[in-house]
Amino acid sequence: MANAPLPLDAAQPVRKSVRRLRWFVQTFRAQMVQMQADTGIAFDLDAGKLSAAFLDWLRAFEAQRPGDPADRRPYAGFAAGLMLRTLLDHAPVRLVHPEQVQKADIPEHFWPEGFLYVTYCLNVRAAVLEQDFHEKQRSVPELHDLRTWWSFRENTAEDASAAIGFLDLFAGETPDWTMPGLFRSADAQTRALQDARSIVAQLNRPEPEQE
Amino acid sequence: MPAPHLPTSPDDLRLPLRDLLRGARRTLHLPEAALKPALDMLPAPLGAFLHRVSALMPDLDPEARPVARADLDMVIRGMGGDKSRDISRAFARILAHAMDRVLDHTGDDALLVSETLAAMTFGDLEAPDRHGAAADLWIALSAGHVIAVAPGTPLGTAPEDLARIDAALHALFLWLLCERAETETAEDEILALCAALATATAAERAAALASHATLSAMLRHQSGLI
Repeated sequence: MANAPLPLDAAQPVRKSVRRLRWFVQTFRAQMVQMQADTGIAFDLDAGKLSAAFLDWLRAFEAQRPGDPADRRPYAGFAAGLMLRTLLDHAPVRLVHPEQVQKADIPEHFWPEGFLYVTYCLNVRAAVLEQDFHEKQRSVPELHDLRTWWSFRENTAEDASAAIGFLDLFAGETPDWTMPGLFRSADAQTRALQDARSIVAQLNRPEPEQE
Repeated sequence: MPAPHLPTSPDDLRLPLRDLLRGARRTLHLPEAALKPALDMLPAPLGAFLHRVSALMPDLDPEARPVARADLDMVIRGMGGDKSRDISRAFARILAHAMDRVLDHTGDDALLVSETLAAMTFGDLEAPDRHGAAADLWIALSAGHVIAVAPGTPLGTAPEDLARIDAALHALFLWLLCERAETETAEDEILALCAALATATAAERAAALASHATLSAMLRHQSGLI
C-alpha cells in the first residue's frame, strides 16, 4: 500500500480535518503524487469533481451520523466506506497515459484509479482509528488479491454502495453485504442478533404433542 | 440635480485610468512586448509619460503575481466594519485579481471589471457582520454591473454571462470569508478551491440568490467547509 498522506494540520484531529475541503484536496493530491512515484502511473486530477465528491460525502456523513457514543468507532469505518463510494461516483482522476498501464496482474495496474481511491480511504480510516481509538488498522491479503479486485470493480460498477462493504473487506473487517449503504448502530445490530436468536430458538422448539 | 463628481487631484484618476487600460488590454490582446519598439520611437517626453502610465497597467497574466496579503487583510477588516482609508481601493484590486483567476472568459463577449465601480460599491458598504457584508457586496456588485461587457450598464451582458459572473463572485466571497492560508501563493490555491466548490454548488447558489438572508447563510455554511 502507498504511504499514508500526512495530516497537514497537526493542531486538529484527522476526524475534524477531513471535513475541510482544503485538507481533503491537499491530502488526496499528496496520495496521488505518492502513488505516481511508487508506480510510475500519472494521473490527472479534476479539482471540481473532487470538490463535488467531498460535498456529497459530507452530506452522506452527516445524514447517517449516529448520536450514541458507542457507535463512534463503527461509524468511523463506515464513513471511510462512504468516502470510497463518493470517489467512485465522481471519478475525480483519470489516467494521463492509459496505454502505458500494461501489467494487469497487480491491483495498482489492474485498476489504478480504484487503487488510488482505496488507499486514500484506508489511510484516512487508519489515521482516525489510531488517533481516536488507539487502534492499528490490519493489513490483509485481500488488498493485493487480484480476484478480489475483479469482484470489487465488477460489483461497484453495478452498485457503488458495494464499495462500503469492500472497504471493510480491505480493512480486515466483516462486511455487511445485505445493506452496505445503511449504517446500523451497535444497538440495532444487537437487536438484530437477538431477533435472529429468537427465530432460531423458535424453530428448534419441539412441536407440542397433539391430543 | 447633484453636482457631478469631478476629479480634484491626479490621484483621483488612477482607478478610472486602470479601468481604461484593463479594457484596452482585454480587448486588444496585445502583449506589452509588442508595443515596446513603437514606444521607443516616440519623443522622449511622451515616452516618459507612457512609462509612468504603464506602471498603472493592470496585470492580466493570472500566473504573474500572487495576491497581495496586505490588500487581503485590509479588505477582511473592511468587511468587519473598519472604515480606514484605502480599503475600497484594496477591495477593487482584490476583486480584479480574483476575477482574473476565476472568471470564466470562455463566452463570446469580453467581460470587463471596473475597479472604479468596485471601489465605490465597497465604500457604500454598511453591514453588521462579515457574512452580511459579503451578501451585500455580492448583490450590489451584480446590481451595479461592476463586472460586465460594458461596466455600469447591463448592455451586452447575456444571461449566460450573468451565470458566469455569479459563479466567480461566489468563489470570491467564499475565499474572503474562509480561514486564511499561510502564504500568498497558498491563498491563490485556496481561491481555486473556492471556485471548484462554487462550480459544484451551482444549484444551491441559484436558490440562495433569492434573498440576502439565504445568500448570507449559504456563504457562512460553505466558507466553514473550506
